[in-house]
Amino acid sequence: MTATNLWREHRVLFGRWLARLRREPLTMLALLAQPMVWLVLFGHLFTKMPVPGGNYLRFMTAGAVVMTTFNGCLTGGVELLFDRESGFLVRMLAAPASRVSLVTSRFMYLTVLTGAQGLVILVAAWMMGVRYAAGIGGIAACLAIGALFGSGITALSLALAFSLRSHSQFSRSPASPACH
Amino acid sequence: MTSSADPAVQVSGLTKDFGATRALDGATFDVANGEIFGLLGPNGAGKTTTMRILLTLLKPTAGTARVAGQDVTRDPVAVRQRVGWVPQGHAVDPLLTVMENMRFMCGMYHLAPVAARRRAAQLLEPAGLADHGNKVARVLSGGTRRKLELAMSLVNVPAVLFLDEPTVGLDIAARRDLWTYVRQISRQGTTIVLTTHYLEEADALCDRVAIIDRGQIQATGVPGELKVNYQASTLDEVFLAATGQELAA
Repeated sequence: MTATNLWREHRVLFGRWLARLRREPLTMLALLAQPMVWLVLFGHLFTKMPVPGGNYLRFMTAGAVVMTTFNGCLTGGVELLFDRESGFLVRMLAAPASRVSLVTSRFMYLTVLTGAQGLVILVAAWMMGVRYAAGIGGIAACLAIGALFGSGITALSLALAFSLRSHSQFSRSPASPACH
Repeated sequence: MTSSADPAVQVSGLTKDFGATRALDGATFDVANGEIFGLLGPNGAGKTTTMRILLTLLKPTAGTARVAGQDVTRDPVAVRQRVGWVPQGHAVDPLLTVMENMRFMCGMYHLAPVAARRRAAQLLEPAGLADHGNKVARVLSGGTRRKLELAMSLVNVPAVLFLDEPTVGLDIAARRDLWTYVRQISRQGTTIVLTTHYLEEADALCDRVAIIDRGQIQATGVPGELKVNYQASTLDEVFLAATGQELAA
């Protein structure tokens, strides 16, 4: 397998996930709206809550990034289950593309998606008055740590998607948000 | 080393066990280059198992198989580069457009983006899909979607094309339309192996057929010769005689 072939596989696989997201505008809206709801709703609900540093919104911003990454990555395997159930996954397996690319392209997609969500949260929180003492370097570190954390959760989710037989099993597994 | 005289598919003593169940029991047959070969049998006969072994998606328990001159067990990637496949289930992404589906499959066969665009356009034209390029696949009719699946299976110019129940669920007009497209592909020199349980389809399309039942090849030959050998007037009667079944009263 040459580097050019690996690049071509990743390009079309990553492009496919993005195209699917574009075709479902409500999903895209929900993904962007969710972090805003965290901040606007919970940020103002618990303004008077005593927290270290004294500012609840600043306190919860980091938690909102982590929870958004956690939820996004934990359900990241669901699309592969759809592919398995529809027969599209086995069609991809009959092509000479590397099996590893199917997994790594999904990792890349979820990292970009949850990274964008994290950035939306950080920018929205900044617009609501939160200031980051660590500056741009701190924001980059926050997103990088989020990506690392998300990779671990994505690995768990993909392992479940490949080992479980159906959506109903996935929704009953610890990876389902319904079980939290 | 292979030559053009070698069969496109060579299967010898192919056996596959799933636990205690023997799905395929010593199947042996050849498919000549450029032939349309039908694998006929009832549900659960072993047709799809045979096809999945030839596509390198399953490993045989015993026996050997070569496709386009490559051993399916020793060099599965070389086999995948030389074959196309239209499975029974969905082989298109319903959320992508026709053109996006084509370019996606081109990428999975390592075509460069410019070559992929050219190849996709080349294949959509004869499939009658040139005007559907921007349509999302989920809005296509069953017959049109099947043609898209066929076009997607040709992106790598396969030496052997496998069609698993290609016309199941299609109305008679869409079925005949698809037969025309399959014959067109065959005329370009592609060897075609198809499974079907529509025997009139096998009669209309196939140069040769193999009848498989309970994992064993019961008969192989040209449909016309099989009818003579089994003193039958239709392939249905040949099928029933070869599998030892009787017509339902």
